[in-house]
Amino acid sequence: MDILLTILALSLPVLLGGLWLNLIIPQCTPARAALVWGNGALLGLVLIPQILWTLDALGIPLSFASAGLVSAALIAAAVTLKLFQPKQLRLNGTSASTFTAMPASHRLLFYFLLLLLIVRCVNLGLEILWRPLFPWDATMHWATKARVWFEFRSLVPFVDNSVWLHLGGEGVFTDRHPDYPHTIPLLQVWMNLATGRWDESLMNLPWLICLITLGTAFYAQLRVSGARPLIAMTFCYLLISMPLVNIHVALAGYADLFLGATYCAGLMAFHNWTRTRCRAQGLMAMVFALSCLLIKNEGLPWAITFVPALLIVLARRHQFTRNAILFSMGLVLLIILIQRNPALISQLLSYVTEFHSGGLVGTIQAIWLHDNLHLLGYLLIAIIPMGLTIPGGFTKTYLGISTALACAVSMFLFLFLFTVYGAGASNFTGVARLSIQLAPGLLFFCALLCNDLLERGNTKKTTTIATTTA
Amino acid sequence: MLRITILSLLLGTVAFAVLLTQLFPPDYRAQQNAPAIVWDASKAQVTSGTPKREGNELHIELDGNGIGQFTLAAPSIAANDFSFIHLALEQSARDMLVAVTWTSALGSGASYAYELESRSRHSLWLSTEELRGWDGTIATLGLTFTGSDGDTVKVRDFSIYPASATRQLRSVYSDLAGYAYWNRAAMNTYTGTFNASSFYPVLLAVGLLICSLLAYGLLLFLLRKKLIFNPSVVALIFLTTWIILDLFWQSRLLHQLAETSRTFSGMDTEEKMTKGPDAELFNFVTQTKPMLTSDGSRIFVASSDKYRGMRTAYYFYPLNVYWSLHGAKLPHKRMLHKGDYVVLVKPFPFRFDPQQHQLTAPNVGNLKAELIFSDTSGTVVRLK
Repeated sequence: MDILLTILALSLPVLLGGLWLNLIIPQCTPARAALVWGNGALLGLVLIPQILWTLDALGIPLSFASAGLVSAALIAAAVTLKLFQPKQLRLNGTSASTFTAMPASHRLLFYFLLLLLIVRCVNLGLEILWRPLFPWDATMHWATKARVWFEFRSLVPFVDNSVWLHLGGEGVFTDRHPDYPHTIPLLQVWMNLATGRWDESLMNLPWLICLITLGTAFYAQLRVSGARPLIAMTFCYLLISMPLVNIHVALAGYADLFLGATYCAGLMAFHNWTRTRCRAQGLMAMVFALSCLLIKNEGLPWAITFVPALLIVLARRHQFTRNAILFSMGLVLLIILIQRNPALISQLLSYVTEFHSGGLVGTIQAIWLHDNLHLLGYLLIAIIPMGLTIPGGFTKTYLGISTALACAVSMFLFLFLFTVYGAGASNFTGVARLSIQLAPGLLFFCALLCNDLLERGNTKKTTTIATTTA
Repeated sequence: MLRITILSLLLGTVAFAVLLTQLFPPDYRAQQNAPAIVWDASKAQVTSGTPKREGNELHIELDGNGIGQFTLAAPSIAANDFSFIHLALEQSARDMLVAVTWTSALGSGASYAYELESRSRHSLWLSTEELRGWDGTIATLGLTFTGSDGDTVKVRDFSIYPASATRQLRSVYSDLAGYAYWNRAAMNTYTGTFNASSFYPVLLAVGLLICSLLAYGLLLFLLRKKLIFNPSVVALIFLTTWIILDLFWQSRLLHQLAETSRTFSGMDTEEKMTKGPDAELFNFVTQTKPMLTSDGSRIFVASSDKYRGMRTAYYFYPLNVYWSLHGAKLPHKRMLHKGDYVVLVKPFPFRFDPQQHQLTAPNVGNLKAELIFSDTSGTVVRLK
């Protein structure tokens, strides 16, 4: 029975997100199924905790039945809408024909990489199933909330140590980070509600789903960007094989993987929106960018990176006034933020320090010496200068995504080189962990450039051969 | 394309192996002229545990303290004459600790130990270069095993060798193919190395990548009439290098999975906790919980060890627990109430006198308290 309930608990988010995305993603999109279910499942994993949160806000005790019913109703609504949706013209077998047109050697490599990925996911899944909660932060500020909320069937407030003492612990709980968003603990609550008992292994299965959805969405978005199946699968393999990404699944319990996945999903959708102006991609970009805020506090800076990227992309096509409006909106938001919390800015400034040389050394080691991300660091330093040779690459085709990533990397470096968090790089406690929030997005960027360069190389080769033959 | 890629990779691998062994040889290779000290089980002197010899194998059963130890019966040796140690062991208990131990012949005869991190011990080549204290003249050299009374270990080889290219490559392979179980720092960073490793796997992969790309460049130059530059070859070389690096990581993951399966498979949550790394703390909390009144009393967890304090606090949830990472172990006296529980997890800077019913806490003062529970892991008191 537990197995069935666990499968149901994992299926509902996948169906919820997938079936709603199925409504909006055009039929003619390449690798549509992967796009729908990859992004959909990730969206569902973010949505289920919000359903629980809403039920709690309405005073309804947390239960699998109530949240499951809401999810089922939303799924039924999506199915009904689909039935009444006018039939779209479908380009039959586009993906399949692209795949069968591949040379046999390419197909063999494609299946080999897929096999490696399947072995990896089975390995990680079994590790999750067998191992109880292990990592430090998971038991310091994530599962603490899940444990209490599951027991009380309610989102009992968590407060800072000092506030807890001041209130005498009446009606409140405390842990190391009471201010962290509710999504991750509620995801664990959801899994435990399904079986009705606290299970420190089963509650971590969403981490495996997150990895699989990230890989699937990654593959699909690369295909949408014009990459051939083999290139998309190769980069999907590079992503899923990164050791620290794997570790964050095997020893599930941290939010970094979810944040990396949502940020990457947002970036990928944003890039493809800038290329195609497809509304579904625009909507996904917006939803995933906002989802970053629901995962972890670090999600805020990553979500903000979409603002300059959007401004720059729009500035190329629209009037100055539109940018002025967006800029004003940002300014108003900032003013509201300062008004609501005047200490925030000075508090942020108090974290700034002089250049932290230890932070620089630690960052270099984590990216280029340690095996956290395999060879991603080297791929970046090789591919970005080569990407500069692509005509209009950074000024037109990849302007949006490169702006967002440049902002993110700048903030990442600023954090470890010029703030008190430099210690997190010099002692390797924070830098690599934070890097997996950006690594999927950076790899997607590398994949785009690599695909472009290879396509140009092939075109040049074909032209040379044609000229020689002529 | 495939043939030229494979050829480039093969040439690159050979070139890289030559470069690695010639440009980065072990220190003192040129000065080494002593012969290898090859394993002879009959000459090993067992100082702890019960020995039994079968052919050239030494079987040791650990003593009542769970210790087994032997030394090589070799005269003093110059450490710099030997760059590699080869070990071949079979142990009955998976969690047995194995350490290479040696004493210096100089001065007061300082002792050193390197606890093997790699669990792959069937044939392990260890570079001595990174071993702290492997210097000067060594008076005794041996192995120490720490486990439980009655555990056995079979030593098939324990030899020391001067440097050579093949031994260096075997040592690099041992570092890459070895594995260690998850540790607390696993979530933060994965270096891919052990403390005694000579090279980072990423740098080795980059070396192989560069050599293979240069080999491709050379082939393009030599066969310029037949071959034109193909970026796909470069991409394939890169992918192959990544896959090679990843296979070592995948192997570690699989070894870890086997260990996790042996430890936890088939158990429910409660059983897993009693077998897991925090079994001691979990058992302490499980024993304590039924003794606490369920009237919403507050529980203050204090320990000088952050990890133990944090983990104990976690196991007390969903009770109302207070534990501070950086703040005072216990809050100010006026914040504490009658009926609050104080959980002291060893090690702790507090003193509880059960006769006087008094808890003495630094920076807090004396508190009246009664003992609720105490064992080797800690003490639980209720404030009066």
